[in-house]
Amino acid sequence: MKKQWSNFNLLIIGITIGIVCLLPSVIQNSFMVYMLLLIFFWALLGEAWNIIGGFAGQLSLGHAAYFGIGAYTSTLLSINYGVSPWLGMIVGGFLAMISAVAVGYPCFRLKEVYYSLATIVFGEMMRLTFISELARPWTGGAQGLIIQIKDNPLQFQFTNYEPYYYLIFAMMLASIFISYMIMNSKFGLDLLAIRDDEDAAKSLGIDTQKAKLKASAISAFLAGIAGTFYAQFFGYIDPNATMSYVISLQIVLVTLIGGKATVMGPILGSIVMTPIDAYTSMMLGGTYQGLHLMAYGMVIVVIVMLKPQGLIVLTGRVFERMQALIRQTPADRSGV
Amino acid sequence: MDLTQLLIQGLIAGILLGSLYSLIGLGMTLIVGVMGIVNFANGALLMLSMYAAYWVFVYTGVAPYALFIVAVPLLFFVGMAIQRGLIKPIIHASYEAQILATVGLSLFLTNFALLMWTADYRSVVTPLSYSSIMIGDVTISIARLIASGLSALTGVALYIFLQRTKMGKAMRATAQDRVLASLLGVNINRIDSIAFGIGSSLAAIAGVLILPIYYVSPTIGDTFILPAFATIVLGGFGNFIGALVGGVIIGIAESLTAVTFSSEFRQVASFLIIILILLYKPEGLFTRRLRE
Amino acid sequence: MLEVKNLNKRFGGVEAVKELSFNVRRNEIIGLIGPNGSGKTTILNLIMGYYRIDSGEISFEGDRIEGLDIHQISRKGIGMTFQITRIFRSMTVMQNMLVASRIGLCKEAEDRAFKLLRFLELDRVERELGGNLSYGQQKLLELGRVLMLEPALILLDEPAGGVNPVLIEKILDRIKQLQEQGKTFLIVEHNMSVIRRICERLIALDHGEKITEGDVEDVLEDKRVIDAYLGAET
Repeated sequence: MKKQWSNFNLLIIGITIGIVCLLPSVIQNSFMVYMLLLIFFWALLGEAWNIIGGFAGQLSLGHAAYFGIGAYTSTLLSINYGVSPWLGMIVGGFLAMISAVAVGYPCFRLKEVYYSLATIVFGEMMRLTFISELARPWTGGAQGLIIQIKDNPLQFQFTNYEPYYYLIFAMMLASIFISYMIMNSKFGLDLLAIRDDEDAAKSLGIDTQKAKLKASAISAFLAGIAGTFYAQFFGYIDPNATMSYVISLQIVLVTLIGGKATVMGPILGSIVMTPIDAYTSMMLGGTYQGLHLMAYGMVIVVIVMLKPQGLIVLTGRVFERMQALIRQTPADRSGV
Repeated sequence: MDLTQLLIQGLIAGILLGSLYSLIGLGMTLIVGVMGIVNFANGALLMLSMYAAYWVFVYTGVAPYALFIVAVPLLFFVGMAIQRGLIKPIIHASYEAQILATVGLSLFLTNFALLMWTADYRSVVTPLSYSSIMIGDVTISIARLIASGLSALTGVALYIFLQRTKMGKAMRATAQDRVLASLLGVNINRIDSIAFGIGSSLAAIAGVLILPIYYVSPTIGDTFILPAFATIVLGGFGNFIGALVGGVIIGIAESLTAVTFSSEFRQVASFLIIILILLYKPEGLFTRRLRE
Repeated sequence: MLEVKNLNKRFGGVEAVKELSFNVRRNEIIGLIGPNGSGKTTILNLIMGYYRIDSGEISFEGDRIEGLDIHQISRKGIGMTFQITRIFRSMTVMQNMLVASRIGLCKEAEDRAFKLLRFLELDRVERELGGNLSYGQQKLLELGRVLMLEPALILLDEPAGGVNPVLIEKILDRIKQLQEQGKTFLIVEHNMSVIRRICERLIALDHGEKITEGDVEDVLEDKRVIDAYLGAET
């Protein structure tokens, strides 16, 4: 469905991008820049998950595995063979993609519950493999891997926040763009149909298995490159930080809060969730360990029961009213 | 010990462990059968039962196995409450909502325990904890033997309940065809509540049984949930016999893996079995092929 | 056009379809009748690929289609509507139509969709979510959606089920018009007046077996058919 781009829409987008780009120079507060960086990061992961979990309606509860595969691939290639993490990022993305297809191929044929179960199993399997004593010589095991961050742009290393900030923002924009393209394509419609009623979709000539695999692949690739970013930003990765079940749930939560199967849902979800998460884990992490995860559990339950479409429905109405005021929305014949 | 002795030891240990998995699996498969919900919070319920039993033990010194009296009714009612409050409203919602609801609950309960009682490992040490008997060259921990026996007994009790009592039969009818059962006058809501209560109670029993054997910690549930999944996948969702036999198979597989490779790889056994079953016989080994 | 030969299907201990053979000729409207449980919907599901046959053959336009995936069968030119409507509830009417487009999302597809919606008098609600439509509208939408596929053969599972008489008339008119445009229909129906109004030939089933076939009136007056419906002991 081609949403006709009104001048209004383009203006808003342009202004937003401009503001975001100027922010680091205007705000001298590096903590704020860090916070925004984190927001973009989780938004990227949310957008990634949304493609398979939102549009296609397949609940993947093991996305951290793809994230971790991306992180470890680029890191190991860099440490062992001196391959630039820029290249490693692409390789990692592809490896994540291949894993997703390998998991999906048998499991998408089954009832969806089995797929979710399989993703949990795959996620845990990855984590346990990487953390095992057996794999330690290769993966660093539970001790993880350290990446020396010196000032070396060609090796994806920067010594201050700004470059990372612009990079993750660009990556997030790319994911939004991909999401948008999917949503407005026949492929996107196919995914939505699969989500609503897969058998009916099949009767309309849609190869649902192929569509789900394709969505899964794109989703995993994006999660994988986010993994490399994580590795190069934080300089340290270990299986529990990158591949745990909790990370998978957080990725789901970002999109769940914001709104599944919408382009901007994950962004909204990240804007809401990331600051709260950062605040609670930093302020309360020590004394009240487990509080923020407990809150996550509660939020998941509440959203699922009360507002399953996510918070984006609230903004939708606000935005529509704004548009109506300016009266520049063209007659949108087919959009939702 | 030579290889055969090692394997026999592993086999026995596996059977004992497996009976625990069967017990937990029975609870989960009952819930799946009756309501179509995979209860991801089952492990957390087991954990809660352990903590309840632990605290009663600490404050009253009651013998560990008598703690059933506390843990089982408690978890039964907790289970019913969960069904009424969380499951019932979403019984007709999408499968994603149902999965996320119990996933969220599990996350909540696990971290609630973490918050309340910290991550410190606690244990209940009784004379039983370290005693064992020798049959030939094979060492068998008494606590595990008792756990196994009581699990089996519980399984039999559940079987009798399902086959002989009016409510049990109603439950089986509901599991087969909800619409038909309700048309025949079965109070589906009550059956759901009770089924969830029973499923939770089974987890509670398992919790008390492992009190002398395992450390009490918020994450103990996670240790058991994966083999429990493997059990119900292997046995088939809603399949009673499947859960019984499946649990033992998983236990043996895990144990033999631990003995031949290393303890680290225990869980790999569960993983592989889940994957193989999903690939080749997703309805489980014991269910007749229904899907098209 | 469609040839079914010696079809067999059992579910567990129940033989749902037993040695069933029949043909559907091009451009005809043929009805499949029988009491509940006689296997009518099962046959449609077997043709469409939702169930796999135990034995027998299904050929469409000369090609064997049993064993193919549902989407492959759909692409060969067979469309199906369901007993209980399966429209996409969270998508708009227009989106429901466009999903079935064989030519992707382009102006041509949108135009065709819009024309079909107008044909079914659903054009006013094109932006409405599928889930918000009335049952009758959903039935029409499902028909429209299947027509977007431009199928040669359309399987209708109780198109008049749960629909008010006025709407039934509308649907039947549309079917007749579509027949004039060259389409072929295989209709499963209980509603005798609908059958009389629109079917040219009938196949009667009982307990998975064909008991007779032929002209509408002949079949409906056949003693065996009446017995089957009234539940005479077999």
